[in-house]
Amino acid sequence: MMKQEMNYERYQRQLILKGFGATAQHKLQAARVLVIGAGGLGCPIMQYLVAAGVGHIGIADHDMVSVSNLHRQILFGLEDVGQPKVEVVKRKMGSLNNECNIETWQEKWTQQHAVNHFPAYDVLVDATDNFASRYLINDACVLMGKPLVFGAVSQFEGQVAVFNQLEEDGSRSVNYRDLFPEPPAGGEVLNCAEAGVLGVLPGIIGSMQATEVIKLLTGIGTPLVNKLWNYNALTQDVFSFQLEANPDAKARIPATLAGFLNTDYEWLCGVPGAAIKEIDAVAWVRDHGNHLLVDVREPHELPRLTSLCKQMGISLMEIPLSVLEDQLDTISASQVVFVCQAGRRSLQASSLFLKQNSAGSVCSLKGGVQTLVASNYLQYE
Amino acid sequence: MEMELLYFGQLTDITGCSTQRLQHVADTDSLRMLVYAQYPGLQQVKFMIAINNKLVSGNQPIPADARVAFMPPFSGG
Repeated sequence: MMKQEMNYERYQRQLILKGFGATAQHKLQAARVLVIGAGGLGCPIMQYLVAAGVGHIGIADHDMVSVSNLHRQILFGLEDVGQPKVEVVKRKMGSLNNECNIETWQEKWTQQHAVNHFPAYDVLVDATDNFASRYLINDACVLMGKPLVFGAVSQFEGQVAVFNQLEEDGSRSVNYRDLFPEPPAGGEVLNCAEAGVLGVLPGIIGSMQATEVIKLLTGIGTPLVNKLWNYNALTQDVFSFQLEANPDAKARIPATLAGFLNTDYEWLCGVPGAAIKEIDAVAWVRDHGNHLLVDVREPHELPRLTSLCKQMGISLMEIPLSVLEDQLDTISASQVVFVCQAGRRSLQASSLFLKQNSAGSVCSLKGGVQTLVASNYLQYE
Repeated sequence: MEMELLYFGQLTDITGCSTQRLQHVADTDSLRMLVYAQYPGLQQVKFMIAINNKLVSGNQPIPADARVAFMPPFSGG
């Protein structure tokens, strides 16, 4: 790419920084960064990288903007609802800095995408919201020798790390598999839809990720290599964990790109099997059989289902997922339906149930209590 | 002799607390048994263990007055 004339006025405040200067600015201008996910993390990452003058940024997300995004994805506005996120991002980034070239993929990111496109980028950024994508991206970065800036949030806490960075001795720093060699079971860890997230938190964590990207590209400072940075918004406590290679990690990463392409990451990360029937929660309330409904939420989660079940004339059991395994033998009914807040824990409950009742089938209410609230079948008290 | 335990993320939904003080135990396997007995829900979830802010794998001795952290993976974004 032809070296562009530098816009001194635009970058003046960072050009005058000690250790930054025109050298670092040119490095940003020449850099190519790929951000996967244009949600709570992806939006601030894009904004800061574009504003800082990164020359070329790829952004991938298959989703559309929805109203429930707006409390944390503050790049988007009401007028963007229903539009593809990557299109909105591209348009808004164009007005923020027209010196940055933006490439978009409005597709679900697959292994094939990674194999095709990772080689053309200097740094990859994981701004996704699910484990299947996180393990896919991590393994691809290890196989293709790319540094990865990782960020993730949960309720009031966030994690940031730089994985697979080239070390001075030519080796690569630790990656996500060194931390968690195997993905958790499906539904084991709740996502933002299920567990909630404080709106400002992904803004903080995404900004941290953007900081790490800029450090990697320009060489300033000490990036979070071989470290996991953990932030708690409730206490403002920060912990930085020292990481080292885990002997279990390497064997879990496909050995070759062919093996990688053949790996079913969604299956590994517990996307449900055939014996579990996911049924629409609203359709089920309207037209249900003589089912036993098992609510696997914790007792503090609202609204409860007691009065709805009474109206429907069906039996209800309340067994939190955390104690379900020990109480599975108390569930006896020909047709069991599990429910939780957003439909993920109920899938895990269904898997646990099937382990003990291998001949049976079981239903999980898709969208869970949230869908029933949205359709006015339930109200928050 | 005591040690301090720190629980992160959704582990606190299971334990109901983010910190806990316990009598010192010799190694991480014994500690796992101890917390599993107290909070059975922890057996169903993945987490990494760090001793004095350093990630450990396998069964590792726990020094006196250690701070042991239990950190689960986060998926949200």
